[in-house]
Amino acid sequence: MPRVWDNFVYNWLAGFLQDWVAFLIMGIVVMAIILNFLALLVMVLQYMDRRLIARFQVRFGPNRVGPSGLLQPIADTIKLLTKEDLRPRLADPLVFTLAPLVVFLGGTLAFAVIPFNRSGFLADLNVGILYIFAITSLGAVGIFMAGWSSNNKYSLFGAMRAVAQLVAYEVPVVVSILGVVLITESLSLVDIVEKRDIPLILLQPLGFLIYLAAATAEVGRPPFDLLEAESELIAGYHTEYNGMRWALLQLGEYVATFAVAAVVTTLFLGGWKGPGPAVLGYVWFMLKALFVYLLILWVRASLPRVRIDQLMGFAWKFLLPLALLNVFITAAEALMWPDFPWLLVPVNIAIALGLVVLWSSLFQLRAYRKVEA
Amino acid sequence: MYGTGILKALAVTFKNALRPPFTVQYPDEKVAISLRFRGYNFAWYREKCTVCCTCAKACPVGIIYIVGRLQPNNAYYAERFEIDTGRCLFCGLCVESCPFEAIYMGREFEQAKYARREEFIDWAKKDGDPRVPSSWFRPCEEAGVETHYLQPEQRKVNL
Amino acid sequence: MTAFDFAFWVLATVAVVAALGVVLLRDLFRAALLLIVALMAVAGVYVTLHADFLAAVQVLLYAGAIAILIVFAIMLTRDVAQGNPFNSLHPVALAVSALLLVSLLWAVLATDWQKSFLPPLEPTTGPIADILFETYVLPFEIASLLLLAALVGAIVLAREK
Repeated sequence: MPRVWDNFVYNWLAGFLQDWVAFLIMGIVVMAIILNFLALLVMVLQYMDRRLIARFQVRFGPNRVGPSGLLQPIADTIKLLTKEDLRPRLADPLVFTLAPLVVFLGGTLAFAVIPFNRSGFLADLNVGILYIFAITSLGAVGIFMAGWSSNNKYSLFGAMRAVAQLVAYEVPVVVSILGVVLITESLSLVDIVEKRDIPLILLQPLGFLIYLAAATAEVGRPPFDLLEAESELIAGYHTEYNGMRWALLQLGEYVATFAVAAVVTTLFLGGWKGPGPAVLGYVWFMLKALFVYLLILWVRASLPRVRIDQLMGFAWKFLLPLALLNVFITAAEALMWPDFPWLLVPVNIAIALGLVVLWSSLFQLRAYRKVEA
Repeated sequence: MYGTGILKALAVTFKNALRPPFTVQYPDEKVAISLRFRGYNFAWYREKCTVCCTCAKACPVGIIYIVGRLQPNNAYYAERFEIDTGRCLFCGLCVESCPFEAIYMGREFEQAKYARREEFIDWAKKDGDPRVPSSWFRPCEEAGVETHYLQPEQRKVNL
Repeated sequence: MTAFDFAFWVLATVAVVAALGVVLLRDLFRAALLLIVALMAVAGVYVTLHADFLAAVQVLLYAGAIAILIVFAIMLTRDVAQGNPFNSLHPVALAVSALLLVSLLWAVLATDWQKSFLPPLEPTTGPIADILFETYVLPFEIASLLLLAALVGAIVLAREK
């Protein structure tokens, strides 16, 4: 594992401190920077969310607080922070308090390995992708803790759905990025970006679509937000939360969604690559990630929430077979043409389109049957 | 084939995103109201009223209070004509019952006040006020619609 | 004391304390959550041992999937908070765990632990794949066949008639 701490600040600290003290100080400082960046980012994302969803629905969105409503997230934050701290009497106090933290951590820790620029990352793990999938699945544990400890049936239903959804969608998520790993021959996110000159979405259009759909479902964004379906479960796992803890849950959800956008950017859209000097890498990365976020938002604004059997059927009968086919096709290509010539780009796009069309005409859900009472 | 519906939905929202918002920013902007719109306020014509008290009798909550006086020309003059609109149902029975069309519902619809007593209409005190009794007929609106009453298409959209 | 040593002692303490919690707590749900903590701490220990692939897989499979399934099973159990007061298997459990403890202790104490002075492998993913798909390809395939059989069996058991 490369020592990412080897910079001048660390060396200066290590000059007069114990090795591990310098390590600890550096870690805390960098983590504080990233956490604050994420909190501010969520403010921006949330504002973007509300304004753009409003535009998709021919509305204005928040536009009263400050110029064009720019101060709305700050006003919301102040409101949430000053709210009374309520907890149900029969809730499990420790787990109830810890759950938002775990949800938040699940999304946040993914940013440890995401490269924002050529050298703009916290750690370059050899198993970066695996680490991200492992860590983001911890968010489900947090959701589960929240749902269980609230001592509320709706929370529990939401948590159960969240876990079922996560277990189902973890599989297509992991399988769909195998194509990328086959092409780049690495699990490290930095290597994946640097290996190929073209964005991998051209070579992996099917993998991109599958990953985007499955990851959206994994973080529980609409149209797969069954874990907090308002019409059925009030608010799902965060029914009993309010104020700061609710804010932390929301923060975790937004961070996890942005982590998905960042992973898509890194894996499929060429990460920090773009014209201009190296410093612009940060800008390119953020622009691409925000674009992917916009895509998720657009889908959210367009599609109605799916039913639970549709959700499960979509994962097991649609995404998983296509992801497996994608792996086989990519493996065959990797064996025959190891440097992936340009000719494969239209071929792969055609294959992806053909498979999606074919499979969607084959794909059928069992008709909804009334249970005989 | 599944999947085409998704594309259709995406196209719909995309088209929507390119349209100007339909929302009316109400206190700042108001849409034009039809001249025949009946709102929440009362318009009363002193000259048409014969103080027959039919409206007061018709009122289901009994909030119309009238005191009449016989004038030398053998016509009744309303010394007091009061409506406590804070308790009004806006059922319109007073309007329907009036034989001389002396009471109408006007076009105003902003009923909120800061205190209950402000909901109380006392026309005796309003004598001489040019805005009272009526929003039933406004010559200024015949000439042209007031500038802040615009249709959504005419508004300048600020986003 | 290097940074890795420091991290190791912290993680080891967390792992042991959490494991004790798993055994001793009456509240099954909290015990399951502590199991997740213990598994995460073990993953951290793997990191300090330069076994990064193993650590990621540990978190992905054990903390992410298996622990969640355990929690799921707990949730579908009735009267979780009370535990199981009608359990008559205490002596058997004691005997089995004593046997396990003795055998583990014997294994730990009797093994001649050799310290390797080779530098740790940098990317472990490639070497693991090489070993798994060349030297031990037959056990690997047998294991996957076993899992497939288990999968089919689960489907047969769970299928509606």
